[in-house]
Amino acid sequence: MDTKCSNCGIDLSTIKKTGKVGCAQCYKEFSEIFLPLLEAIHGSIEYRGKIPLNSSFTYKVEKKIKDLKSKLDEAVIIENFKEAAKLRDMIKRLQKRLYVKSKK
Amino acid sequence: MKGLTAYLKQRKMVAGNGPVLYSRVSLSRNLVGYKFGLTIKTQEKKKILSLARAAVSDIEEFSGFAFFDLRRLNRLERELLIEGNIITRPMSTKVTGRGVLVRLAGNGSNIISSVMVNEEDHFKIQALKPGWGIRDIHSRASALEKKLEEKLSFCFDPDLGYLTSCPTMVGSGLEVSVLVHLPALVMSFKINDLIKRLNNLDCTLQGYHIDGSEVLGNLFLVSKESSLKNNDIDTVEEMEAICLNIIEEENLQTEALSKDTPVSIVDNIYRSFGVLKYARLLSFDEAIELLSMAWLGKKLKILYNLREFDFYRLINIIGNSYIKNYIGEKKDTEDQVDALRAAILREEILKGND
Repeated sequence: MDTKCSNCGIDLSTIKKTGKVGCAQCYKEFSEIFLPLLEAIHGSIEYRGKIPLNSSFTYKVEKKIKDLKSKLDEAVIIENFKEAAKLRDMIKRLQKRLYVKSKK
Repeated sequence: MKGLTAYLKQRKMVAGNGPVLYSRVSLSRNLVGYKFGLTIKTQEKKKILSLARAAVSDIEEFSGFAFFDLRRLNRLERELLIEGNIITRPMSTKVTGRGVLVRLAGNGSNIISSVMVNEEDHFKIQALKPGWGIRDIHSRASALEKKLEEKLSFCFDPDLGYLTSCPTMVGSGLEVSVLVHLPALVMSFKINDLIKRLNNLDCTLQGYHIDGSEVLGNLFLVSKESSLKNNDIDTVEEMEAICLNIIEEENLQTEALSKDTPVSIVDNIYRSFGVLKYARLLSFDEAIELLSMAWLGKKLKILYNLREFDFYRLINIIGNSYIKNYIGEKKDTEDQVDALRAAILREEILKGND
């Protein structure tokens, strides 16, 4: 796996050696490596802290909610209710954060 | 360097009598559209520095802050900032494109707020205060971060949270640290249990030596990084609980020691006192070790010819750079610094006219 990040050019072995990434894009491009790693370090990959005040991020979060909603619909159709419940909780959490943010 | 002189005067900060000498919180953030610390180019770093200065010029919370471009500081000035925990040592070796905004304690507050630019991440917003008080400094750091975020866009992912160059800090980018002084636990050989327990709670421990290499003077820097599943407040509360536990353990052990002090410890305490009283040259390392024992001796009511002293305050005023700055750089040799340190300590802690 000799891939380099398309944005900053850092390669995976450097990341592994230094323990640091080269740019924000690295998290996306090497997500196959990072997601399980982050899960191992942090115990879960579901950020629950505050979200930025910047409205462009509001848009991102709203988009995420939309994506989750369509996944939820799919889960219901194939009767995977456990997955559906999980998705429903995630949607609720995101919505709550948006609501809290908008109240400020 | 008017700002720095004022800062030096401020550094006589008092931590109080407990084991916690200082509390520190930092929030790491990166600007959208720029590479991170490992791959970023010098030009980009300089750009970020300008952006930072432009952003804060407009924010009221930052009006009392002084800005230092590290390239414009001489070596002694940088050492002073390192000793004061305002910048890190790696920042001082490669200075281009790096700077720091500092608000020295004042206005009735003893919190030192700072923003390091281009340390490991683009921004490291830090609040530090002597003694105990994680919540205060967390509020302070969060408030500053909020204000900065109004002007700047930080890298953020809805799943991962704020993106940092170190994957372990991803999420809230928060790190909480406390410097604790634990002579009773160390001298009673009970420190290893505590260290194991802290490691199980995801805390890292370092010795205090500005760089964190070895244990000195029974001082430990206990740190905890945020995790994805906790939000900021959880980490802060956890750390508070951990600190209270550490304080309790040290106090209990001190109590136990005072009831029955092994002669080896008594001997160590008296020897330390003897050196402090009569030595004419003291290095920083040696002084810290002796002071730790002297402090314990006072606490255990073994030493009487000693003034009550604030350990944190003394650590600050006997630093190498602090003394060099005091006597003027042209005159300083190692011996002169060590001699002055010994004299300062005799002055500070010996009772009576010795």
